[in-house]
Parts: sequence; C-alpha cells; structure tokens
Amino acid sequence: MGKIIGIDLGTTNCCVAVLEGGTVQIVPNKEGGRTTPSVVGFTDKGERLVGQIAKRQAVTNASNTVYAVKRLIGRKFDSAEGQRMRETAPFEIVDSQNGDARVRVQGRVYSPPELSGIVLQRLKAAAEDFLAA
Amino acid sequence: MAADKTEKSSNRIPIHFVDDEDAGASDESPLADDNDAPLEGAVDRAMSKSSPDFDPNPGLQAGEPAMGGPDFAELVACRAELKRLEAALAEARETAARRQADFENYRKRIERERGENHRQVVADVARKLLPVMDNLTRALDAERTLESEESKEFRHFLHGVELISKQLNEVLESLGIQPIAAIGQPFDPHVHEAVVTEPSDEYEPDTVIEEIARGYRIGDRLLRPSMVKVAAHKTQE
Repeated sequence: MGKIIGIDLGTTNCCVAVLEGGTVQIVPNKEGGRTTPSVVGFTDKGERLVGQIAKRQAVTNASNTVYAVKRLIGRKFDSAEGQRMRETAPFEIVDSQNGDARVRVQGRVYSPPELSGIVLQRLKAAAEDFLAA
Repeated sequence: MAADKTEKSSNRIPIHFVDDEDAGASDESPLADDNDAPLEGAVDRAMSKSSPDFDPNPGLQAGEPAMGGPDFAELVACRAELKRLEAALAEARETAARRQADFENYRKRIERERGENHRQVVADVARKLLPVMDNLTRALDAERTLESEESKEFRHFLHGVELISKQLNEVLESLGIQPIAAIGQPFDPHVHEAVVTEPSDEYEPDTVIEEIARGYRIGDRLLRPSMVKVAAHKTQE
C-alpha cells in the first residue's frame, strides 16, 4: 500500500516526514536528528559525506564541502545570484555549455540538482529505513 | 397437484427438511430429483444474465415442470443477494487483514521504540548535564594552574571537588556514557566537529590537536561530538 511522504528540500536544512494515521511523523535521520543539513562533503579518501557529518568537517575541508546549492538551481553562471555565490562560497562555481551555474569539486563538475539529489537520496534512505522497520 | 409439487420441489432446494425424505420416497422422489439440476442451471443462467427482472418461465424452459412464478423469482433474488453479500464479506475480510497487518507493523515499531525510549531519555538527561560537566572541568583546570599559590586548606577543598567531578564521571559511565578520544586522533567527522584549523609542526594534517569541548557517546550512538581544533594541511598554509 502506498505511503504519503513529504520532503522539505531547504537551502540549509532538509526534512522528511510520513503521513501516518492522519498525523505527520518526522522521520529521524541516521544521526537521530529531525533535520538534515543540506551539505555534501567530498573527502580526500573519496568518501561522500552528507548532512550533519559533512557539516562537521566543513572547516577542515572547505573547498570540497558544498552547501546552499539550492540557490544555484536554475541559475545562470552570469546571473547575479550565480556571481554572488561564486564570490562568497568556498567551493568552486563554474560556467557550463548552456550557461547554467555548476559546481566543481575535486575536478568533477556537478550540476546543482545533482548535489541536491545526493541529499535527497539520504532522505529517501532514512524514510525507507523508518517505514521498513 | 402440480402446484403442490412446485411448492415442495422449490422448498427442497434451499432447505432440506427431515420429513421431505419420507414424502419424496413415497411418490415424488424421481420428479423432485430431476427438478434439481435444471433449476440450478436456470438460476445460474439467470445469475449470469444478472437481470433483476428475470422471467421465471422463459421459452427455453417452458416445457419443464416445477418452475414456480413468485417463489422462483424470490429464489433468484436471494441468490443474487447472497452473491452480493459474499462479495461484501470478502472485501471486508481483506480490509480487516490489511488493517491487521498495519496494526502488526505499528505494534512492532512501538515495541522497538519503547526499547529505544529508555536510552533516549537517558541520552536527553545526559545531554543537558554535559554543559555542567564542561564548566566543572573548566573550573578545575583554571584552579589547577593557581594551585601552588593557594593555601593548604584551599588545596584540600579543591581536591574534594576533583573527587566529586570524578564521581560524576563514574555515574555517567555507569549509564553507558563514554568520552570520545580526541587529542592525537585522526579527525573523524562522525565523532568530531571541527571548529578551527591551525597549522601544526607537531601533528600530521587532519589530526586533532586540541579538544575545545569533550564529546560523548552513549552505547554505540553519538551523544555529542567533540569540538576540536584540527591540524591544517601544509598546502593550505
């Protein structure tokens, strides 16, 4: 039977909830938090860290820790938003063939929705764990 | 007599009376038995057509005996009602089974959550106690540096407070709360929170060089990450 699941994809935090018996239940993440920071970190060892853990290592690995990427979704590299992010963000924002803003981490170029997708995958997994158990 | 037979045979189909046995055996047994099969067929045909105003005596069966008017119509209606009710029952059973499965899942989760709840409550209380622990540790650290200048009485008092601090640590330990190793460890974002980085000659890059606030875990779960200072990469200097 289908379940109703709601996801809040925020600029700084994300949250996932399930409708259960007419009331909304927030799904806790692996670390036990009710919200998950919208942060993705790529370590030197090739690990991909998501959420609270990515945020904890942001200071040590600033150029490979991507946050607030929602702001770049659907923005052109030349747009005011894109340029402001390029100046203030510690990670690298690059142009693409169609002019959309992209993020380059460890030599690989990611589209903003791709990075948001990494966070969404984590939320999906949390919801699956919550419902399966 | 014909009407009588119809009466009897139509009675025989849904309900079997004990005394029918005798009556049938005497004179009507073969007729009544013959009637059973075509009547079933007629009812089934009527059902398959599912016409509510089924003609109890259609041309096809005009020649067959014992096809009563209103009684037969009632029988067909009853059969239709029975089928409808059977379908409704099947649906209700399925709904009940589904609800039962839902409930079982709910019960399992509640049971698991109850087990976790205890740990959760302990963790909540401990988490609120941690800032007190932090301050007590800081206070003792600050006093220790001045220890030699203080009077003998004060040193005795300080030693007492240290024992109390140790006691508090032991209480937390008995609840399954363990401090997280930090200084000299490789930085691990799963248990450490980097607050600041600093170039260091003494330590390898990505090593914890100072603990700003102690982290704790309860069982296998993180209660609070350590706030730490991490050695920076040489290339970033």
